[in-house]
Amino acid sequence: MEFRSDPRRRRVAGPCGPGGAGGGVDRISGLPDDLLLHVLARLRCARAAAHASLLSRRWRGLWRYLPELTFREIAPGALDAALAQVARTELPLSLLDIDVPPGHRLSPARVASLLRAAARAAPAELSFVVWGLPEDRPTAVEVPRFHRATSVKFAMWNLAITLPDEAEGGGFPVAEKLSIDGCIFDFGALISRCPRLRLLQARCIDGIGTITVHSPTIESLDVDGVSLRGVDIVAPLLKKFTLMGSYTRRDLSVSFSAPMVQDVHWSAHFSTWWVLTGSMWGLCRFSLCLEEGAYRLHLRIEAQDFWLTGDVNLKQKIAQFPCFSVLKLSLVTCGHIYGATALNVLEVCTDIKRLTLVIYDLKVRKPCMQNCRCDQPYNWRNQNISLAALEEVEIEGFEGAEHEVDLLKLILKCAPMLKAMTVTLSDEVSPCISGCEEICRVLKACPSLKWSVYSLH
Amino acid sequence: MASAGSGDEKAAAAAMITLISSDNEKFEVTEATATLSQTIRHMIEDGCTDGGVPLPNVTSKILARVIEYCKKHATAAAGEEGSSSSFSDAAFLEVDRAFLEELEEFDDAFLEVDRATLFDLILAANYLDIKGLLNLTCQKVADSVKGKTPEQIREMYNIVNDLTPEEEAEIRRETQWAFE
Repeated sequence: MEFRSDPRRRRVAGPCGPGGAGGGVDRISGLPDDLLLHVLARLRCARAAAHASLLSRRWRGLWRYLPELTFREIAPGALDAALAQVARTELPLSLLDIDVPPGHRLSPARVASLLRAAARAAPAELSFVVWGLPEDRPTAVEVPRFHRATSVKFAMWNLAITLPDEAEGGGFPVAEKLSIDGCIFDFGALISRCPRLRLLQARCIDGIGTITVHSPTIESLDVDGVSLRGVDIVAPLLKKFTLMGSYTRRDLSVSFSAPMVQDVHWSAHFSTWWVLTGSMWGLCRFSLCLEEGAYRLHLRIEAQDFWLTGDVNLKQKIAQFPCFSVLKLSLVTCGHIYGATALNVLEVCTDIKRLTLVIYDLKVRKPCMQNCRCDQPYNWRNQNISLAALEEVEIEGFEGAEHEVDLLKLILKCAPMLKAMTVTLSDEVSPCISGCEEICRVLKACPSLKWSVYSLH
Repeated sequence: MASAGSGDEKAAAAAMITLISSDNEKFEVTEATATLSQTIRHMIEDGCTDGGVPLPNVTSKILARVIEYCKKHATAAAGEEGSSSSFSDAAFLEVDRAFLEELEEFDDAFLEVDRATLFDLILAANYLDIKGLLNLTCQKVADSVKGKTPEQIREMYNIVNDLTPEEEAEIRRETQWAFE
């Protein structure tokens, strides 16, 4: 918006001269300063408010006292000039909202100087959006101390940030709400600089390493679109935990202490699949949810022919998770025998009450050869594992193959408390196959078991 | 319009407050409606509402409009307070969406007033400290000047330009960042 006012055409009138359309008094200029500022603030644009200086002497420079300052589509140089003019009054700035458009790619030093200017304005709420260049990422932007900010939102694309501690003049001493998008930072250091933090949201963050959150105050932690190596959470007041991320390495470390937590949604996929020890099966996704007071773990494991022997000890990994009572195991078998792998997983899930086993045979290959290593070790059929708490089993996608019936028998043998079992046959097979009859025969032999077998045919 | 608050809710009859306009008209409103005004809320808390609350800065015409606003918004007040004081959106989300839409329609219709009334409402909202009404009315003014040239704004609001050409040049110079 560009104002043009030709001085030659200016209407010259006395203070109470005739008005424009409709005639009458100038009610708006008669408003007290705080109300006029209230109106100007509602333009939600510092530039438009500054343009109002051209209306009359009454309006000149009023914008400098705005309680909320919003800058959009503004060049960094103009921003410096504007922030330098913001009046310091005993009435503090309630909001400083800066969005530098992506056409301006700023160096870390330039971002730091803008942040210092923003910090001098001492806002109660800060929103700061800037764009850097990916090649500058190794140089972190030093974030100054925002001593009054209770809410901070950073979207600093392609940038890395550091927060000096209080002794070095950094930190957010009163921040309760923090939202960070697009930049690299050290969770642990950040949290330690925010002694009153209640809510942290982070989005689209690469190379974060471990998410370390040791905070006596945090209540909600919501992290999405990150690649990470582990989590280390000690948060006595944490109620809500959401983490959607990808794991680039196999050394996931999990330490999770949040006794008050009520709501957990944690899901992850692996850019490098975890190939399980001595097998041709790899874990490609997992999710952990807390629902109605019980943790539910979902693992998706796929068979691949080309993998070499894996080296991930699933037992070690699973032992790091909070104790879960519901397990959903999705197996993409590609025609392979999955009993040994299913057992390998079940062996470390001894506390489960409910098990859902979903078999996807993608039929991408012919049935596997005799002596295929999917059936190794062959003696899995004689293994004895403890599923002492297991009460309910649901199996989907059964084809009634001999090895499947073997696995079913084994589960029945290892789960003395089992009360109910539901088997849904794969839509590829007809209920008339001999395997189905065998399943029914085996289930019938368990007198106290409530069971059903469904066919989609 | 004096009937605007004439005790139509029998159940709330016990907690009625009498508001007295500058032209001495009396309005009876429920406490829930009246306490949307922080000014009146404080008077009630201090126990100074016996015999009515005189509002020497508000005419009966404007007070009737203000009461109309407060009655409509009184039921939504609890939800609004909850959402502003807490980061949790839960309280806000629970407020019935349909009701919020209805409230928005009411607000739009409520703002269909002439400019003089609009400024009277701003002053009344400020004096009575009714945050929602103040925001609503100031937003209306702000929206009306958005994207307009100074000349258009002056015409619209009868603002007399008392700046000399030199002063105007000076303003452009000192706030050059806004004119780039």
